[in-house]
Amino acid sequence: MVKIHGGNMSAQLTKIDSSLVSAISKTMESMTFEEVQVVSTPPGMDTVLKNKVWAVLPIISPIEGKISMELPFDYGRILTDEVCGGTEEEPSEDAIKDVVGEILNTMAGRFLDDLLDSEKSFELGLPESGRADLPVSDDAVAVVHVEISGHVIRTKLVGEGFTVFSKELEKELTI
Amino acid sequence: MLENILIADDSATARMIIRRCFEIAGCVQANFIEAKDGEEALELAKKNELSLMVTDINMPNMDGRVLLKNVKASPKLTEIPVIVISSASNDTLDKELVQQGAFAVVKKPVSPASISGFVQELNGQNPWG
Repeated sequence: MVKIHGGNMSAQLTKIDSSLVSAISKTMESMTFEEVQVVSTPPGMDTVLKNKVWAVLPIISPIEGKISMELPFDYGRILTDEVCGGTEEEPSEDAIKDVVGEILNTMAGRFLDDLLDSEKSFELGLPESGRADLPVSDDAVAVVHVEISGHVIRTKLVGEGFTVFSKELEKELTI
Repeated sequence: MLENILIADDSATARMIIRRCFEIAGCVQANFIEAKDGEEALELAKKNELSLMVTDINMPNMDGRVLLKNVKASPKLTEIPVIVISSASNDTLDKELVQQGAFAVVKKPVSPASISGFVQELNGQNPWG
């Protein structure tokens, strides 16, 4: 189940936002079995994500862009533990990066499936993960924050071609 | 019975999830062989008697499409059923891959339910009862 928090955020959701939220929720809920809540930009996000892990995935076609996911490193460790079945060993940094990359890969497929015509093929690149600064420009078409058990995940979509989907929904909303 | 199952995916996490799903779907006693890209998968396929190959599409060096073409073009490997797993799967791509010889195409995230019918079919059982 998805809960939306943050004033009138539901009224501001574009087609991109709703597809992103749906993809994140389905992917995370199937992996963590926990409720996903959409939140407005939480205060102090830069502090929350000071010690973070990120993954970025190129979208090659039909629209060129990038999709990324950032989350606190400690939550990455918890996720890795849950996905890998709770072994007693502390997950390595590489394992955490790999899990975040795989979550993003699955989420991106669901997002594009929902956003585009279901008959339309799309092509994704290979995910890249890291700990330092996210190699994605600040001019994102959409930024979505979700909260799972008190942990915030930030997802960004970059790519000028995607703005057409924001405009379409704005038009629908004004009718 | 499915004895030797090769899983090709560049993500160790994805390989582990796929393996677990196959185990839950009835392949508890199978021997799993893992490859991190298509090149490695092709080499391992030549060295092992595989009963099934499971491959991701997006991989470095040799992707799943090229791997599938190589397997189906090889007289020695062509009989190996290939299940393609991808986050970019949709009706158009699925049809294209099946035409190229894929046994089935499964969308990520993989679950035991999404593959159990194929496992039963490959094990010679009727998945529909």
